[in-house]
Amino acid sequence: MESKKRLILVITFLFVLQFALGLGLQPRAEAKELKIAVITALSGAGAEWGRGVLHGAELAAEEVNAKGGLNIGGEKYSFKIVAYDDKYTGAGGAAAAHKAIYEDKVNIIIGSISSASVLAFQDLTEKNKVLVLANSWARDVLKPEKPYSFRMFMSSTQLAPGIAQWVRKLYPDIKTAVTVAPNDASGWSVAEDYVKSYEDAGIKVISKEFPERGTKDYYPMLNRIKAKNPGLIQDGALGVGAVAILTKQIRELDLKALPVGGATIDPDLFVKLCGKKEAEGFIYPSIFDVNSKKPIVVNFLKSFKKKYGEKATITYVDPSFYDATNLLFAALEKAKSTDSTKVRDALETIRQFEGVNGKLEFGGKETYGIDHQLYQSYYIAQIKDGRETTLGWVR
Amino acid sequence: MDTVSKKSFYLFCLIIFSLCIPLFMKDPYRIHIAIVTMLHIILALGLSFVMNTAQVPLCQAAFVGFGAYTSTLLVMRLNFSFWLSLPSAGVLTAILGILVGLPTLRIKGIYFAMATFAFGEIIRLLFIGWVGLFGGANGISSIPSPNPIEIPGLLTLEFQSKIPYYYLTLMAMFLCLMVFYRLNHSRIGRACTAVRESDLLAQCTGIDIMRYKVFAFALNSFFAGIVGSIYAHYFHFIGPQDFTFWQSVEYIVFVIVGGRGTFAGPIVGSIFLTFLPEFLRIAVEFQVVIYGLALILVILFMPKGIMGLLFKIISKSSNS
Amino acid sequence: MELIFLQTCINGLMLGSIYVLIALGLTLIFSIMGIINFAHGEIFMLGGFATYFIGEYYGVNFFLSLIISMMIVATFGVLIERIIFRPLREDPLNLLVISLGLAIVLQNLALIFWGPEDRSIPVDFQGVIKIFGMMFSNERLAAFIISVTLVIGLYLFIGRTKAGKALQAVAQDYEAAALQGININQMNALAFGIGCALASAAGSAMGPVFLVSPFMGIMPVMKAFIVIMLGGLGSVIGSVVGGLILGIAESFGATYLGSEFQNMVGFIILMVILIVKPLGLFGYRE
Repeated sequence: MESKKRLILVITFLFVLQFALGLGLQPRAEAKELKIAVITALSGAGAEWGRGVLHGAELAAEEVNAKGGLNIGGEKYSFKIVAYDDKYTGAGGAAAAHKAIYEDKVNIIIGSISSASVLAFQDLTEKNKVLVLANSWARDVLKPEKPYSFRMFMSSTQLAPGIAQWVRKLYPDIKTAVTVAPNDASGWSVAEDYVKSYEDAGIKVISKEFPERGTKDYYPMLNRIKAKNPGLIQDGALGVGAVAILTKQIRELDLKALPVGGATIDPDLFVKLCGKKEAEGFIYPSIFDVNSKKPIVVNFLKSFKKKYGEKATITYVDPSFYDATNLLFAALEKAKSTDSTKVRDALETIRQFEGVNGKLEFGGKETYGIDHQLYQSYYIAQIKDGRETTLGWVR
Repeated sequence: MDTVSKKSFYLFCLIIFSLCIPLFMKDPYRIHIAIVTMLHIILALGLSFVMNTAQVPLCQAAFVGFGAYTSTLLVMRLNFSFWLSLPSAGVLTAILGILVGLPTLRIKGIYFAMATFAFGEIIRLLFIGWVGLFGGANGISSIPSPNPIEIPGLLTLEFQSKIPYYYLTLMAMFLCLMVFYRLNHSRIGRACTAVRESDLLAQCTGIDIMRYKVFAFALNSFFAGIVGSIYAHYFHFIGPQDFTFWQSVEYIVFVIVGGRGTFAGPIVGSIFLTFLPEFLRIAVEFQVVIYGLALILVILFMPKGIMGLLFKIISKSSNS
Repeated sequence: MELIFLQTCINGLMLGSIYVLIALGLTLIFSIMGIINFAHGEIFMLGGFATYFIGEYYGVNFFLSLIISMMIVATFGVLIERIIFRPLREDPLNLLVISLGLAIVLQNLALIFWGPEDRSIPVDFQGVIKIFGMMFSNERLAAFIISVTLVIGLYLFIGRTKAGKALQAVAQDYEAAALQGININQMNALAFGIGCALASAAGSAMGPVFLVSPFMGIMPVMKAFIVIMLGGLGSVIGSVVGGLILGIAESFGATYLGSEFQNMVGFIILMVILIVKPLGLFGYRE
């Protein structure tokens, strides 16, 4: 029985030790350093977009710190980006938010791109008046009851009308459409947006497909809808790899449908993955032109490549969050305070902010009941002869 | 003092200690970690009990999810009080456990594991597919907190801060600990161990192995359902991606790393592995890799789990 | 209507042939070593990446890259077996945890070093064949041919060569095999090496069809589990039949029921089989 007693002692000791160690592991917060949390998917399949959030934010913070910091209400602040991996899940997001708010005591969160993650932690952040600059596409992320949440990125709700109108203009013969979106919160939201926009444009969506995120084999689905002969197949932000494969398979199976993208893609990568011939005619919206000659874009790309390497991939998420972080800095400056309510108010009043993605502004009251959706101009592009061709601008 | 009351004394200290933790640990984040750890301990204990009857289920997360959704729906659709939905979730999940266990527990080893794996995935796809009931991929959000406990004239306990949740989970964990401790040391427990050692032999001694296996499985499901219910009303949001095969595997890892076949093993394993990510905050991008490496190293150097190593050390020192 | 039906069948066969290849490696490893290797999907992924890099940086022909990748990955697999799996041979649950840890490490190291984006493996023979109104991409056809070739190769190896027969002996009863003088350690290494080589080939074959990424192994390995359960653990014929059945069932499920059902079909079949005939179609009790 000696060992049993020892056992209980050992367990108790371990228990206490762990807690004590944890208590000791906190670095004191710097007096003039502002911690900003970035909650995003850093592992698992969501990392494809998730890393862009961190990279964009880190780059922006680094640049500001290199200039000596930001002047907020007379004091100089440098910024520390603290990253959390939410693994693209709700539980991950909730855990990350708990850690960020209670342990690291942040009051600004950048992220996440996962709708499940954001929806999971929004109760917590709103209750604690934590500013959330998210990118997730589920509609419910923005509501009047959630005054501290912003979407820093155009979702399908904003992009779909433009695409639908352009498709109708260029291809008046198309009467039917099929949406293909991932079977999760974002995907459902996107599909709804396209159904509505196409209806407004006089095109009927005859089928909404929801393959599991990560599916690459669309043959069965295409086989089935081939009989219905849809005029176009709309990608619901499947990701550049998946949409490239989808387009390739559409062509392989000889469907006469026009492939339409749902999100910005890197045209060179798309052509590489899909094949030059198969990529011909692919139409998509783009908020970021990687080949733009505008100085702000060129500089961004240069700094990005310097920090992350020549071969580093840039998705549309990186420049968006670079802009989002800079917008945050502008709001901090304007608010002259780090109090989240004051920063929130300042953020709402920023007009025509010049970012990598063009002129940015908040709006969206008609759709969400609150002006916390970022708007910018975007253009519709098409792949012609292996290159991106701009068809026209929206707004 | 004789050994029995010495043991009781230490146990008593432990209980008082855990009851007092929120008093000297004000940081809500620590309390959050404590709550999650306790939920993990409950899951690991139940799992360990089932594994003691020689079956390894790969659907624990599905039971948790079922409990979570059930409790949520009872409260949000049928206006149940949380205090009714909590035990209901446990009971309903136990029933599910029986329904699943009856056909599958007949099968042995790896095949049972795969059958439960398939079941778990089917449940998850159901959560995603049946939108009307389960909210689909979006899950269910804005789940209300447990109803306040009112003792007229004395106090009203509302579930606003984390502390009431801590005590709720603590009570659940105590219940679970008591149940499994008594079971392990009772006739039923010995029967289950006999089943694990050799079910042919157990059958010869007149034990109806199926009865014990199903019982263990249903009991585990009951507690998993309880955990699910607390989870839902604590996080206020549930979605199908939180109840996948990977979470089920995580719970098994708690038991294995802690040490199978021991009572303290699942407890220690849960604590260790829930705390581990907290210490890996140095490089976030490497966090997951280091976790994986930790798993490999722990098993390589502690094949009998942490408790196995501890027992070896203890027996060595009491021999010398 | 029959056209859709036929196309669905062919799609299913081609998809199934890839499942067969992955499952074969897994079942071989199980029957010789008793492990269910959770990291099998990551081995598959490594094969895909190896072929990508060899092709990208050395301009080597696709089929040659595939063979070279198989050798590289097989060697890597044998090393892993020696260092990580061998010490724990007796304990399947410990092996489960370790292979899980390995899977996590490999997948996320790939993510850190190679990035999350998809890459394509360009091939010289791109294009589509059209027969009787049904379409097949050349890449899928190539994958099918690779799979068939390797299955036949494996069958011949196991049945006709001395090493193959030794493997059979170990699979049936390893104590008896040891008594006969067969070196169990060598056999384990061989089995694991072959298993990894097969997974690598599957990854390489899938590359041109479905692109290469650090996450490409997650779904296929789950499908492989279903296949070996369906066909019977340790049965080569079982894996072949099981793989084809799953491929065709998924194809029909997705085509006629809807995209969401593509994965559910597999699991339902699995549960039914496990309850009705737990050992699988061709499984045997040792």
